Amino acid sequence: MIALDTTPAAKIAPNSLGYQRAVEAHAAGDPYAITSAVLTELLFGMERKRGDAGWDNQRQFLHSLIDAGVLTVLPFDDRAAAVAARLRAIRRVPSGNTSAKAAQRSKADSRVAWVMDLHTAATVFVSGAILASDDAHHATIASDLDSFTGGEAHTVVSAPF
Amino acid sequence: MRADDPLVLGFQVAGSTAVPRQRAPRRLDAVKRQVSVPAEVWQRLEAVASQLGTTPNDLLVRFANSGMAQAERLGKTRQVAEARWAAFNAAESPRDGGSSVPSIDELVAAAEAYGSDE
Repeated sequence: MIALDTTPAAKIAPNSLGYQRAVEAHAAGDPYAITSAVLTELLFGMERKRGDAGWDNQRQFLHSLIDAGVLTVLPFDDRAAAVAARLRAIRRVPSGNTSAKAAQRSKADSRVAWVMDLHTAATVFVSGAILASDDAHHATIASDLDSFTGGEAHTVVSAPF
Repeated sequence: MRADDPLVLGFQVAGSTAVPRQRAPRRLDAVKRQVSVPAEVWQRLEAVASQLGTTPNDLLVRFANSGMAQAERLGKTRQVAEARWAAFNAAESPRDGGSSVPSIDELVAAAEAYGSDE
C-alpha cells in the first residue's frame, strides 16, 4: 500500500495527473492512502480559505474521494502513538534547512512540521504501508525506523507525481 | 469510451455505455464446479455483464480473482505491519527496576515536553 505524503496528496485535484493515478490505483484494487496527519494538513489549508468557492469545492472533492474509497485514511492509533513517541524522543527537530520552504520557517513552525512528519511516518510504519515522499525529513525518519527493524523497514519511496 | 477511461476487472469502463455481448474467454485450465449464487447477486451480475459485453459467469470469475488479489494484498500489508510492530517492541529491553514510578510532577512535565525541544 502506498501512502501519499502531503505534497503529492495536495496535487490530487479534478482533472489532474494525481487524480488520474489515484483512480487507476483504486480501479486496480490497491488505492492510495493518506495518514490522518496528512489529511489534517490538507484540510487546514482549505479551512483557512473557507468561503472561497474554489477551495470549498476542493474540500468537497477531497471528502468525496475518501467517501468513495479512492483515498484511504490511515488512523493515528495506539501503535502509531508509541512509534511517534520513540521517534520524537531519539531525535530533536533537525536544525539544518532541508528546503527553501523550510528555511523560511520559524523555530516553532519547524517543530510543528517535524512532529506532523513523525506522526505520518509512524502511522505508515505500523500500517505496513510505504510512504511516497520527496521530503528530506522523511529520509531522516526512515533511517530511525530502519534502526527499529534492523534495516528492513523500507518505508519511503519517491513521490509518484 | 476513451483511451484513458479506467480499467475495472480488465474492462474499460465509461459510464453506463452498453457494449455488444461477446463470447466469454475460454479458460483451458478451468475446473467445473456448481455454485449457488444468490438470485439478487446473479441479477446484478447479468446487468453489469451486459454493459461490459461478457457473460455473468465470466464476470463472477473476474470478481473472484480481483477480490482474492485484494485480500492477498491486504494480508501481506498486515503481515508487514505486524512484523514491524514486533521488531519495534523487540528493540525495547526489559528492565528489572522494581515497581517505582516517577512523581506526578515528573510525569506531567515529561508528557508536556512533547512539543518542546528544551
